[in-house]
Amino acid sequence: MKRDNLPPGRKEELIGKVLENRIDAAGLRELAGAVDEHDLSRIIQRIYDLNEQQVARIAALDAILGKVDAIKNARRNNYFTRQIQKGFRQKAGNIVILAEGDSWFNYPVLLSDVLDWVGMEPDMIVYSLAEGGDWLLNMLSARKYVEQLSVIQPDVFLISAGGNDLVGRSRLAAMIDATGGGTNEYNQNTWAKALIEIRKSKPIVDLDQSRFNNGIRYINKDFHALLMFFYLQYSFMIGGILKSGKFPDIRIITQGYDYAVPNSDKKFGPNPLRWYRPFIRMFLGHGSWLKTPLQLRGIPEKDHADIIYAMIYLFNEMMIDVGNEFCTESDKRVFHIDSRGSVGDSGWSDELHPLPIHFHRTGQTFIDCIRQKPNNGSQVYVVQKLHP
Amino acid sequence: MKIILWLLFIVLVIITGQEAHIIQVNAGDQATLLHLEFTDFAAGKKILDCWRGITYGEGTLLSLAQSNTRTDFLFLITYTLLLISYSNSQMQQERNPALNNLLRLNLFLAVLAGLCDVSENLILLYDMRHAGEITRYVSSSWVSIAKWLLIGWVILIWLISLIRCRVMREKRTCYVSV
Repeated sequence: MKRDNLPPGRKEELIGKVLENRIDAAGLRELAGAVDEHDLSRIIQRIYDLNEQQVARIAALDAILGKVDAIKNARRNNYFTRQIQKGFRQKAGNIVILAEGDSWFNYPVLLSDVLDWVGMEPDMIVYSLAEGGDWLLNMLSARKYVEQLSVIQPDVFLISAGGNDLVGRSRLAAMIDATGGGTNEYNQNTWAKALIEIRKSKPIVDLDQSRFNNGIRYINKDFHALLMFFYLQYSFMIGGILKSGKFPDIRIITQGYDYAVPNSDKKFGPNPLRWYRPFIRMFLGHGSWLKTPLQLRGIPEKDHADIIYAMIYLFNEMMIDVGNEFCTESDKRVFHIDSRGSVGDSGWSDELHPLPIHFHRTGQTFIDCIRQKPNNGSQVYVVQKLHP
Repeated sequence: MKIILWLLFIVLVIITGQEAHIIQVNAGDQATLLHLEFTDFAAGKKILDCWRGITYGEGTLLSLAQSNTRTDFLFLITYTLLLISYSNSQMQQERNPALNNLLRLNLFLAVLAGLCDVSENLILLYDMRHAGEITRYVSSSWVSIAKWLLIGWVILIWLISLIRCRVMREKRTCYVSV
């Protein structure tokens, strides 16, 4: 895709401002139109203070997890191929979907994830590239979705990514200002502040201002830089698809997780239908993504959940803002599934993954969005709470 | 994966079935391996004594039963993995949340059934090793009953979901077939 050309030195100046969290919204959008893969690689190396090889190494998928993910994808994709061979595409109204993402799209064996529920619809088939534990960084550098977009020419492209870039390998600890002086960094991020101000006037989901303020004071410059980096990555990905001219009718649907709850409880209980919860929590990383990094930085436990609240709130607003950049009143092609607040404090299988019933509800919202169910003209579909 | 499991399963059914048939033919209908799983102290001892007294090849029926029970450790792994695999496949097609949850529970119950079978085999091997001693005998009937109930439940839930899929004429109507 052709990128905007900036005057000499301008791009470097804007990248420097992103890394220092001193860029305004106009500058960020200017940069988003100009960055290429090489720039993205340089930015993340600076955010993580690592070289390219080190970044690739920490972002690499665990080998065993990769194999388990591959089994689920193979099953899904074999089914996809069989349906295509049976003439699925010839029937009017049938929808072909390509999905790239993380464990919300591919949770091996134990949970029915979002794609499982979407794939059960009679008029939808899903080709999945999703891998639990995968980073947005990997997805962009591997570019598997680019190849499959060209081959499959899907009606809809689903993407779920960013969570592992934030919480994988205890990276969360590096995003924390243990002194509680992070409010200044938030105030410097005029783009993020503007997103919150806009949201206050045009609410999509409730904003608990006191929780947000309490959380934001622990969030340092690197998180804001990472948030803007996500913006650049998603803009690069979505812009690459929409502006290529190869997919004139494609719709893109993103999602932004819910307010995960840092904890390390094993949740043993008498309900046999929840047998998997202690199993998942004992053996699959529970506690290590959120709670341990926050403990590592000495954050009081009472503030843990508020930090994640602020991060997830901003992450969703960032996603919505990316979508807005590619939408007009008459031409909406980027949609967002907003799960904020839908799972609740007790609806989690582990720190990052909802119980199957909540995956079901999120999946249903994806289905509504894919079917273009009327939504008051908004490109944001909100996952309804189980118990409002 | 499933094909390999099915091949292994069929081969083991043939091997263990043949051995069980030999025991039944030589010891009678009331002294089969299945009977031993469910009997109490007195009847169990009687069956073991019977097997000890009948020669087969270079050993007795008791040694054949011991070999059969050892083979069963491999057999139980294959059927447990098959139950897990089919329940998991069906779970990813089951749109009814309650049945979806029950199919997820099947994954755990299948493992539990396999563990019951392990316990049963260990008990049977203990009993066979002490066949000549009057006081040493442990009945495996409770773990055997639990095992069969669990296997039955797992298959029942899977079948209900499978049939429901077909009746409802949903997509993915059970392309997995036995």
